[in-house]
Order: sequence, then C-alpha cells, then structure tokens
Amino acid sequence: MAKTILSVDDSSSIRQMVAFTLKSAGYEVVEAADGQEGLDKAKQKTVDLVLTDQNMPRMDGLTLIKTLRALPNYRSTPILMLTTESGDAMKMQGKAAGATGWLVKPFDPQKLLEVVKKVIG
Amino acid sequence: MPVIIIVIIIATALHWAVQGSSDSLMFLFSSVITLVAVVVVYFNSATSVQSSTNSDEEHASAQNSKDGAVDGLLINTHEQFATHFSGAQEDLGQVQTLLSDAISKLLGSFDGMHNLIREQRDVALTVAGNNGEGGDDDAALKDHLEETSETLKALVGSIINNSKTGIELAEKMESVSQQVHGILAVLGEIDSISKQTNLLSLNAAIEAARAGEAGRGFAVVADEVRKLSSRAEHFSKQIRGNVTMVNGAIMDAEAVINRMASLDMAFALQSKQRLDVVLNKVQQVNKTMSTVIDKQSEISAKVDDVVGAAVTSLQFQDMVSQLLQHSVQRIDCMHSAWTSMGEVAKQEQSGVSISHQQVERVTQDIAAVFERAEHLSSKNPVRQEQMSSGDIELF
Repeated sequence: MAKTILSVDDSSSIRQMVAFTLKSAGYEVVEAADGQEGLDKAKQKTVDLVLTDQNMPRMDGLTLIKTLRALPNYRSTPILMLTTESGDAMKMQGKAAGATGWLVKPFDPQKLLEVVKKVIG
Repeated sequence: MPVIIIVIIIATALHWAVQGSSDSLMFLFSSVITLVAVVVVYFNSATSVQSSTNSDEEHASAQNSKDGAVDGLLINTHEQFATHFSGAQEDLGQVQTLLSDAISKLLGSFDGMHNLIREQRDVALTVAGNNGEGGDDDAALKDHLEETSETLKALVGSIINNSKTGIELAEKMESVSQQVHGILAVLGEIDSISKQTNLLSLNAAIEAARAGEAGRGFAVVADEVRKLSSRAEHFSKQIRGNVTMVNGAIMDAEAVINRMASLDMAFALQSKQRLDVVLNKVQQVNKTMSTVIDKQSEISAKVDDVVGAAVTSLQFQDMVSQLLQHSVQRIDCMHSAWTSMGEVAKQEQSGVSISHQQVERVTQDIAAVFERAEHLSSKNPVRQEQMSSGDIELF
C-alpha cells in the first residue's frame, strides 16, 4: 500500500509542487494550509511522514512538531521541516522540537524524493 | 528651521513625482524622507508650543499662525500618505495574487507535460511488447524469431532432399529405359531366328516335294515348322509393341520427375533467400525499435530533470511572496506611526492644545512601532539570494 505523506504549507504553490513530486513517485499526499489544519488532518488519519513549513498563520511548524510529538501515534513518525528559514539557531530549535530533518527551500524534487525514501523507504 | 522646510519641499516634490509611478520602493523611499522631515518639524513645533507659554503675547500670535500652517501641511501630507500606504499595500497584495495564480497554472502545465511524456514512453514500451521492467519479452521475441527461422530452414532442407530423391528417381528411370532397349535388341535376335526358321521350313518343303511319296511325311513336318516360325514372329511383334509402350511411359515419367525435382529445388532456394531477407528485416525492425525505446526513455529522464529544475525555480514565488508580505508589514508599521502623528496634528488644528503627556504617549507609540519594524528587519524569513536548491540536514 502506498505510504501517505502530510504536506503542510500556507503557500498553495509549494503544496502543489510537493504533491506533484511525491505523487509522481507513488506516494499518497494529504495537504494542509497551516499548522492547525495539519494537526487536525494528522489526527484524522495517521500518516507515514509529515513535511511542514515553519512560518504559517494560526500555528507554525515548530509548534506543530511539538504538538504531534506529544501524541502517541506520532512519537516516532519522521517529520521533516521544509522552509526558507536557514539559520542554525532555527535548525537547533527544530531539532529540539523533534524534527527528523531540515530542508531549506527551494527544494530539488529529486533530492526531496531521496530524503523521503531515506526516512520512510 | 529653513533647512527643515527645504527638506519637506524636496521630499514632497519627490513624493509627488513618484506618485503616478508604480514603483513601490521609490514611493516608500520618498515617504520615509518626508516622514522624517515632518516628524522633525512636528517635534520642533511641539517644543515651541511649550516654550510659547513663557513668551510675550505678540510672539505667541506669530507662532500660532506659523504652527497653523505647519499643521495644515501635516494634515494634508498625512491624508496623501495614508492613501498611498494603502495603495502600496494593495499593489503588493495584487502582485502576490497574480504570482500565485500564474505559478499555479505554470505548474499545472509542467505537470501535464511530465505526465504526457511518461504516457508516450509507456505507449512505446507497449508497442514493443516490453513492460519496461526488464528484457524478458524482448528475449522471447528473439527466441521466437530464431525458432521460426530454424523451422523454415528445416522445411527448405526437406524440400531440397525431396528434389535430390526426385533426381535419383529420374536417373533410375533412365536405367530402366536402357534395360528396355536391351529387351528390344533381344527381340530383334528372336525375329532373325524366326525368319531363318521360316526359310529352313521352306527349303525342307522343297526337298520333301522332290522326294515324292517318300517325302510326304517330311512335308507335313516342314509345314508345322513354318507355322511355328510364323507364330514366333507374331509374338515377337506383340512383345516389341508392349515394350515400346512401357518405354514411352517410362520416358514420360522421367520427364515429369525431372521437371518436378528442378521446380522444387528452385522454389526451395528462392524461399530460403526470401526467408533470409525477411528475417534480416525483422531483426532490423527489432533493433530500430529498441533504439527508439532507449531514446524515448532517455528523453523522458531528461524531461524529468528539466521539470525538476523548473519546479525548483518556480518556488521563487513562495520566497518572493514572503518577502512581499514582509514589506507589507514594514509599510504597515510606517502607516501606524503616521496615523498617530496625524491624529495629533488634527487635534492641534482643531484648537485643542496638546499636553506634555500626550506628546510622551505618541512618542512611546511611535517608538514601539519602530521597534516592531526593527524586529521585522532582523527576522526576514528569506535569506536566499539565488534559486539553487537549499541545504538538507538530517538530525
């Protein structure tokens, strides 16, 4: 069965690009426009990987990661940050919150697929 | 004071000059200069308001008239600024909407192109009978061709053997024909014996007649011998007729077999040549098809790369959008500061005096707004200056 990936980003074009890249490799993609919607979708259906932006309205990426890590279903699910933020301090915050990895935008579709394959196979 | 007025004039001129243009940054720049000038003028006049309490009546009257002019300028500029701050924010919002819409459509096009190329490659693979997951079917086609070739070669070989057997048969027929000629020669000998016997019986009959009565019995014997020779000649003729017919039939059979053998041979050789040509062509077609499919896969992979690069580049919209949003927030800060200033100016123009506390409060409000702007400057979400793909770090 195809693995499901939750893509959380307030930019519809980024969501479109992530979905286009992942679907062409055979993954199922669920989309959310901010952290809060991402959290709701993650609760509705347990996904295999979460790919989230940092700066979003309502709930940012770091808060989403912290909230998800507190849920029993998401203690060990890979969560990747995909953001324009590239500062080391920000990355350290992500690591502390429980992120599995940090990807700086713009992403190369091939490299994104390689990382996704590495973390969920 | 004259220096301040000159600054205001330059800034206002600059502001009006760019008013019609769509260059938001120029507008922003002129706005900032004007803002700085007006702030200086305002605080200068506010200080004057305080100090005027200690001046004489005449000086106060002149001061009030000047302050009124400054307030009028301030309010007019404030209204213009408010309009253009909003306009710039709307423009930036419109840029974001346009970008978002265009990028979405571009991505849709790339997605469609990518899918069509994949479909095309799949169709090519289906035509070749290859599922693209290995060369099993390709090998099967080769085996099938080789098997057909072997079967046809065996068939041609068999036809050639038949022809050879036909030629051997024709040779045997010729040998039978020679034997028949032998029989006819022997029959000639029998004919000669029969003629000689007939002649002997005739001589015996003459001698019997000369012997008279004593030879009568011998005459009967001589006549019987003549009859025998006559019958022998008759049989010999019959045998010759039959053997000649047999010989004719054998000759006909030999001719038919010869014709058949040579026809089969020619047909078999032609078939073999045609088969070789066909097999050669099939192999060529097979080879061309493999080349086309390889090329198709190669192109498909290249299109994937190109689309990937396009997807990476198209993400500029997300970054530009965040930067525009950031600019909108900065303009919003200036708008807030400007609104606070405007309220004070309106109050003063309406004749209500401004207290020291009020000046303090407005100063604090503006300081808070500038602090927010400063904070925004330090928290720019986009630091990239190029569109090469970003770093990846796994913790």
